[in-house]
Amino acid sequence: MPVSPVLLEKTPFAGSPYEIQRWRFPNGLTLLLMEDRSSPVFAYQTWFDVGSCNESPGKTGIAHLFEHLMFKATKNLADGEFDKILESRGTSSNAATWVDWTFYTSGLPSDAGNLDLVAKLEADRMVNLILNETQLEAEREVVLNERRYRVDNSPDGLLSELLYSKAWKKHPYHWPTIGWEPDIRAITLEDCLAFYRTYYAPNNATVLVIGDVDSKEVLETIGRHYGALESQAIPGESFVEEPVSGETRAETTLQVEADKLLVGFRSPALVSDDRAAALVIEALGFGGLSARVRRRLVDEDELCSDISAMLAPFKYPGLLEIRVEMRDGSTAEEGEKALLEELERFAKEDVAAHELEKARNQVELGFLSGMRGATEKAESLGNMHLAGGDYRRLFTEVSRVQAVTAKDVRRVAATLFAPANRTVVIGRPSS
Amino acid sequence: MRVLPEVPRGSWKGATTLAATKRVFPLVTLRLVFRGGALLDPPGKEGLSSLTARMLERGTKSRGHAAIIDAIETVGGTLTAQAGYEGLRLDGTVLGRSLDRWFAVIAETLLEPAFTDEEIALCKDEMLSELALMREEDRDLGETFFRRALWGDSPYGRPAEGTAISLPALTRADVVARWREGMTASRLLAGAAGDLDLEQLSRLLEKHLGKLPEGTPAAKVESTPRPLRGVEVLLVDKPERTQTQILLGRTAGGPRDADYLPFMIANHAFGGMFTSRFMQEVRVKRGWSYGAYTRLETMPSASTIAAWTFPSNDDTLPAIRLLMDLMASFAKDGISETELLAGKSHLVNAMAFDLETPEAQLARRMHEMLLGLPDDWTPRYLEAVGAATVDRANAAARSVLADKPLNLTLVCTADRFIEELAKFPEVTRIDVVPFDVSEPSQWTNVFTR
Repeated sequence: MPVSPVLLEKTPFAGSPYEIQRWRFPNGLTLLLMEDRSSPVFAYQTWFDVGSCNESPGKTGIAHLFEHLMFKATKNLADGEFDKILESRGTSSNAATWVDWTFYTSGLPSDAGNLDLVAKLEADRMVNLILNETQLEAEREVVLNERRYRVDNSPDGLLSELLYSKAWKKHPYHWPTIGWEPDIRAITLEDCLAFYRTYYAPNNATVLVIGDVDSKEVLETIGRHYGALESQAIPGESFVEEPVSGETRAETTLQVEADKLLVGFRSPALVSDDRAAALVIEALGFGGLSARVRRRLVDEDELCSDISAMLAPFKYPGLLEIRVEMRDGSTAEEGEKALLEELERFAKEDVAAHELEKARNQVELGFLSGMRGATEKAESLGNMHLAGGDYRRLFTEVSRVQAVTAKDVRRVAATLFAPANRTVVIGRPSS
Repeated sequence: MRVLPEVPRGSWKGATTLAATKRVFPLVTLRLVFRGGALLDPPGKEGLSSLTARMLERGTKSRGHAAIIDAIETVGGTLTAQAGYEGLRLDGTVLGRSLDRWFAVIAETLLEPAFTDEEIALCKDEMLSELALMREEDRDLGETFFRRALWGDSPYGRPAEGTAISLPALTRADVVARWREGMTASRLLAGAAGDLDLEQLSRLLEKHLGKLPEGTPAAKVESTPRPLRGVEVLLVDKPERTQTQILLGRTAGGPRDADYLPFMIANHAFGGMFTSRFMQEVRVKRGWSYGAYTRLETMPSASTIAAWTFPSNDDTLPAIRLLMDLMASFAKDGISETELLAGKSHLVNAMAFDLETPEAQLARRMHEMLLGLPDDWTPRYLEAVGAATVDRANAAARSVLADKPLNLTLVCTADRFIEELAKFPEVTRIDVVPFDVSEPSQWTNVFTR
């Protein structure tokens, strides 16, 4: 039976000749669709509104482990066939899990039949997955090995995990998306099946089709493959935001040759009105070789060899993470003192007009650079839609940044860099 | 058959110019490559090309380091200067409205670098600190030592980023000489992607780089692999590892070698995809490692075949046994018709992604040119993939790998594995090197058969 999706709106795509259409199907499935016929490829992504945030203590890592299991057998497809079929069409299917979401991605040549094929395969595994103990055990080992690679044998991974575990006490952001090792070992087949039944449903999913496709064909194809899937009750998020509770500090030893300093400041959520000013602060301090904090710590004081920052693009307040690689002979304490002095300036002094212009230009450059390929566009849209609640915020982010004033920077910096808002972790050389 | 559009090409003062134009977003990417990179670094001066490239950003006759990077970034641009083995590279992207102002600064760095002693000292310190950071990452460590194990002291074996011994010894005179002979029009490959066409690129070069000397083409440098016997093991010893980085492989012929394309196809089918036999055996069937691939790295006159994976300590020895058996079976029996078809299909279809963005089109073409490949390489490659047969692919696999010696490089806590590795019948030699040595050739032999 044909299904009739509803067009919710059309939005121009950031000054390009293209537009995004948002459709809603009767079973709750959301479709974000953009025709760009200039290159013979398209991105097909399925974003589920579930991430490590939705896990419980003792079951951490299940969202990510389950993402691995989604490439296994379904009622209609033998184990391994999903990857074989898509790989033969030129794609390497992949997936990612983070705190707020999980997504599955395939970039495909726009050859005849590929759209229908990928839609059919994705709709199938949304509801027809078959799991068994053998698959779970093999994939559990793979995930444990991934954890050894990304965390246990990586000084940066270990320090990052420590930072987040100290920055919150209860909020789910305090555990790693890959999960604690004992929890990964304890996840059962029944846990996985329950997770699947709970969160994998059309009304908890957004499909993005971006690239060399025909809109009518996409609507017909999605309707045909997903139309019969039933919506289900999705549990709400039961946790509440956790206020900061004063500065937190921790220290560990690592297999490194010099101190490592990682400082996190509780930062505005993706939807916050203060995010634009926080982006400007990030760019002013750390966005490029000439950024003021970098220039002070790396070039002038020669305290560290590298410094970088990342403003979390999360649904709830996250962290502005500042990573400082100390030079041999310089201590983390020296780095922290210089860092905090520079950060204080954001709240105390008006930023110069030319610095503000630089930050705005760098944010615009970053935005456009992230829009080159269909897969990159889809990822930016998907994150903003799931974590930011509305993909259209992506297109207004640059203009919101352009509107940030020196006064805005001082106001937001005063809150952002307040001592009570800070978590500091230090990695020392183990020998 | 998929056809890649030709990236329009021109010339300017002896330089080759290319532009992959697409005017959707107001963004321009430029890539300036001066042929002849770290391969030209003399023995003992490893890192000279990298230092020279990086020094371009660190001040000109009229502006200091801070003013240069500020000028580049204020207008909404980026610039990265670095050296690979084949060329000195400047890469950057800029908002279209700022192109002229941005490129004027880049031209200033190329034509009027100051190379002050103070900045050279700072840059060397920065590079030494980066070497320390590299040593934190087991995968990077593995790659550095594997390269050394395959190529020894010849140019491809010597680290492009320098060593703790070579970097302090580099002088201002070295840098000035490297800049004078290296950054000239006759060696330049200038590529643009995005909101710029070939004519605009030529005008930009003429306006800002008109004083670039013509110079002479880069000398060709030969690199000879280290002789190997059986399976030679290099253990990069790092304390407290719970996981082992494993690289197993050897050198082979370059892209002009008759076996190159058939072997590339065979290798892709065997270990280049998620569904390849290699990944299926290591990850999917046994769950031993998150990643497991074989790759073919191509240089102008050689290539390197490497199998790579990273199991836990407990799975390391069985994984090494499996890797050796898989490589032996690939060399002896090759791939099946089904595997060949899957590999061919993926290679042909994935070519669409080299078309997707102007940056991808430019990168592919410039890579081919730096390898010295003919203009019709891509159609020739696609034709070879289409025409590949299982017999020809397997003959190439036999020729490249059968009964050939291999190097096995492991980043691990060495004590745990030496004794057991010596029991592998293929292993002829085991050397150990601490992960934090200042020179990657400082090995200690602990076993010889």
